[in-house]
Formats: sequence, structure tokens, C-alpha cells
Amino acid sequence: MAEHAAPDAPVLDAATEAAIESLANGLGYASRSPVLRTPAEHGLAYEEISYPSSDGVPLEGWFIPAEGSTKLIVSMHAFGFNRYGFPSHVEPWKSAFGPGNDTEIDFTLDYKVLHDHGYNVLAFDFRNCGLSGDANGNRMSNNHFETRDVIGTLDYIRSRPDLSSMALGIFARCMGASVAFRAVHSRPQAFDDVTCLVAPLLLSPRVFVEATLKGAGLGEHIDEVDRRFQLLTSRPLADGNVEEWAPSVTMPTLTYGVYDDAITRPYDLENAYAALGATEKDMFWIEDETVRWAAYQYFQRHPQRILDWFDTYVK
Amino acid sequence: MESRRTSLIEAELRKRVIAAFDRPEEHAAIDDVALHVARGPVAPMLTHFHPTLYVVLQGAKRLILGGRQIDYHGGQLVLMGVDLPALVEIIQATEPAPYIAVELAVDRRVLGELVAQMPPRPPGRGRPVGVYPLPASAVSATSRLVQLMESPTDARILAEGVKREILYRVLSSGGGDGLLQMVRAEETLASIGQATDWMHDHLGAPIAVEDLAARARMSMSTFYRAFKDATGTTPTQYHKMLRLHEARRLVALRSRSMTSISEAVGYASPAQFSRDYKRAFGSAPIHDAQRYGREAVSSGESAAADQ
Repeated sequence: MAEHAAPDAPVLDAATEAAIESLANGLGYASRSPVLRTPAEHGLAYEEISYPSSDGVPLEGWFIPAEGSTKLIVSMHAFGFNRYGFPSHVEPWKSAFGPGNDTEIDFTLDYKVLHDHGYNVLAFDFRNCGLSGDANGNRMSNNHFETRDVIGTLDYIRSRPDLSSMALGIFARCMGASVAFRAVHSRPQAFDDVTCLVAPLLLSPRVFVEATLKGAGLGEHIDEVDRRFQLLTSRPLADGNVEEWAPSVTMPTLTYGVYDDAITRPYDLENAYAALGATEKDMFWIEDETVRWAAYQYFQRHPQRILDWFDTYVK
Repeated sequence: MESRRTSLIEAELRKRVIAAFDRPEEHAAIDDVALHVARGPVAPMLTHFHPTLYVVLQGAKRLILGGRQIDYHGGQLVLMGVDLPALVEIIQATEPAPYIAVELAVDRRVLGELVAQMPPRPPGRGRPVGVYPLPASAVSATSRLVQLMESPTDARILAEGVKREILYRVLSSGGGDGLLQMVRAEETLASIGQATDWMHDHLGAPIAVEDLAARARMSMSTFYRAFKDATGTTPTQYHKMLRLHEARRLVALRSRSMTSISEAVGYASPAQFSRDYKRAFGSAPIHDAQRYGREAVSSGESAAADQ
């Protein structure tokens, strides 16, 4: 039984107890994964960069220059990932996101595509991820703290004479996309010079928990997971609903997801899309795939639609 | 030997369809059956499906449905499901070798009776549009059905039995799962019919899926699953398809500016409208408007719509 559980917590069998405690902890705490590759593996020159988040947490990243280009894409990673991607070919990360989501995700391949298409790339590790600093007792709290890392990154770009005048686009996946939405919602003026977003795999935490519990035959325990999550992070899962922040996102935004992704529900992404404040927006589903990983690898396999989006707006 | 006999029956059927098609009083002789003959390619046209079975005998058609392109040709059986907005284009047809097909509306009551008498089968996963090899037994029955058109008395007495036989032959073939799924999908759609009706009536309004799910008395998850099972797409995408098809209709009428059309179907951004339209139909709305304008002038129509 969890030590912090309130007196009215339900009595659960050991297996159920372990499953829901693991889910609440898994969402409530950030988890680190190693940065196993660098852009140099694809022949890309890059610069190791370090700068403070807006609250001072040290962030680590890469700047990959594209000679002669005045366009910059900022890449933001997913939950538990880092700027390189995710080592899901190696345990314990191989087992972290369920069957099928167990091959390596290598975002440096994406950076190669962007670079070769004429974009500078800046990729960083969120706090408590990759090689960036510890903060907030490692708690996630529905991306509340990570929004400061986005603001810090934009401040860093504006502080560098060689980057400050570049046309800026953001490519943010999953948690990165949610963080971007929440950051725009809380500090819209900080995004005045961001021309567009590509924000696949938006995911509301309560929908994720509902889908995951249902898949495990534990659907009736959603409120108990939510209660434990709140005891860990001070906030309920619903505080992370992407749909609530979407109306503030007014820059052109493209999103996509895997329709049959077992850890979410299609309505979550579609609702967020429908609620977008942007008048120029687009979304598509990856069909005939059942694993979320297909969306992380989509750009490096089928870059054209996303490059078209950036080419249209990053000017 | 069997395939030679089948191809002879198919050749005979093609001749019968062309002969009946050229005598309109004949090809209207049997309810729920339509003959299609096109002697040249036909540009994309809007269509809405109801449960229908197509026996394609010659030529080829292309169907554009929700961003997917489905091609089918002579020798194939096509099952088309629920009320889906789509574009169809005849892509292979000539004067000596026209596009030829026989269309049969699926009678759910008859289908239900047949299924009840046949061995049970596990539910398969169908799609709103399915393309299958044309079973020889269905060709033979279709040939007899078209032959009945020559005699109103024969048609009145025998057609229902032959239509029933065609459905049975298809149910017994590789397309059987698709046919069953199609009918199940239509039943599901009936339960979410209010939602699609609302979408048809509110093309310019933002879609509120939560409200639609509540009207259907379903949770969001159940509503999404039911909708996808029935239509092959999501509520949001279905609504977008309807809006773009309405836009294409308005473009063809040439009665409004592009900005006005874009607003009428719920787009705040004409640029976004143009991009979505092009992705759905393959050409930008302004190009379609110019093309429709040229076609109207060349066919001697008034250009009053531009005034």
C-alpha cells in the first residue's frame, strides 16, 4: 500500500496495487534516458550548447548549423526521451511503453533531414531528461515546469546574435507538443516571432491513463490513479488537458498521430485540433499502424508533408 | 476450361449490358438495378454511397475517399458501404471498349434472411469500400438478371429471385465478409445518424464531437469507435470531407468568390481552404473554377454565374 495513501484509499490486490502505483509514479516523476547518439553520426557538424531555463535550471542541447540558412527549427522531445530520441532498443527503456514501442527512436535522423533541407536545428533536453539539470524534485506536474524550458530556449535564441534574427519554427512531439501548447497558453507574448508549430502526438494525461488502464483490464481504477498522481504532483490529471490550452495556439499548426495507438484515444488529438485557435491548421492520421512509435519515425520516413508546412511558414 | 466458360459468360454479359443500356426502357425495368456504360473517360464527380454492389465488367474507375485512392477494374466486385461523400472518376473507357458495370442496391432484409440460413461465420474486418475478385457464380447470375430486362413479365416474376441469388453468391465468396460488414456498418451508422445529419446541416460550423457523442448517448470512446466502424473515418475528418465536397459543388456553380466559398464551409483562412481542397481533390479550387468556366463556355452554357 502506498505510504501516502489517504485513509479512504480502496483496498486493492497486490497486482492491481502495483500496476496503478507504477502508473501514477510513471506519470508523476520524470525519467532520464541516455543520449546515445550525436548528429556527427550523420556527418553533421554541431555545437554543444548549455543555457538556463527561465527559472535557472541548466539545459543541455545541440545547435546544428545549416550554412547560409536563416531558418531555425527548435526540436522538443517526448516524455522520457531526450534530444537524441529514445533508446527503446535497450532495457529498461525497451519495456517502458508497451509492445511494439521497442525499437530505437533516433531523432538525429530527423535533424539530418531538416539540415539537408536548409534548416538550422536546435534540440535540447527538458529538465530532468537527458543531460539537463535536476529540478522540482523530479516531478512532472502536467508539464507545468517544462514550459519554463521552452521560454528559456526562446530567450537563449534571442540572446545569440547569429540566431536572433532567424525565422523560427517549432517541431515538438508528444510531451514536447503539450509543453509547447501550455507555454503558449501561459506566455503568448514569448511566441510572437514563432512562425509555426508541428506538434504531433498531443496527449492528455487523463486520456492516456484511461486507455492504459482499460488495456490492462483495470479501467475502474482511473480515479485512484488520478488521486495518487495528485498526491505526488499537487495537481489532478485533468490539469494537463491539451484541449484547454489549444485555443491560445494561434500560429499555424500541423499535428498528427497514430489512429490505433493503444495508449491514447483518437478523440483526444482531434479535440485538441478542433480547439486550436489557429486559423491555419492541419492534421492527419497515420493509419494501418498500431504503435505510437510509427509517428516518431514518420518524419524521417515521409518528410514531405512536414517540410512543406515548414517551407510555407518559416520565413 | 472453367475460366474459358466464365470469360465467355462475361463477354455475353458485356454485350447484354450495352444492348440494354442503349434501350433506356429496358435498363429501368428492374428496381434497384442500374447499368453503367461510359464510352470515354469521365472527369471526377461527386457521389454519395448507399449499400451497393458493383459488378465491374470492363474498363476502370477511380474512387477518392477521405484522401485514399481506390482503383478498380473489369473482373472485380466492388462493395460500397454507407453514406460516404466521395469522388468517382472513370479512368479507362473507350468507344470500342467502354466502361461497363452493373449496380445492385443491397436489400438488407434479403441479406438478413440469407445470413440466417447460412453457416455462422466470425465477424471479419471490412472497410466502407471493398474490392474483391468477381466470383464466376455471381457473373452467371448477373448475366441472367440483365437478360430478364428484355421481358417485363420475366423481370417482374423472376428478378427478385436472381437478385437474391447474386447476394448469396457474393456472401459465399471472398467478398462475403465485406458484404456483412457493410450492412453491420450501416446499422451502426443508424445509431449515430443524428450526428451525421447534424454535420450535413452545419457545414460552416465548428464540430463539437462531445455534443454529438452525447446526442448518440455514447461515451466519446464508443462514439469514435462506432463512427470509424461505420464510415471508415473519424467525425472530424468526415465533417471536413462534407465541407470540402460542398465547397467543390459551390466552385462548380461559379456563383461565389473563393473567399466566400471558404467562409461558407467554415474556413477562417482561404489559404488553408485552398490547401485542404487541393489535397482532397488534386487541384486548387481556383484551377477548378477556371476549368469549370471553360467547360461551361465550350458547352454553350451561359456565363451568368460570373456576373
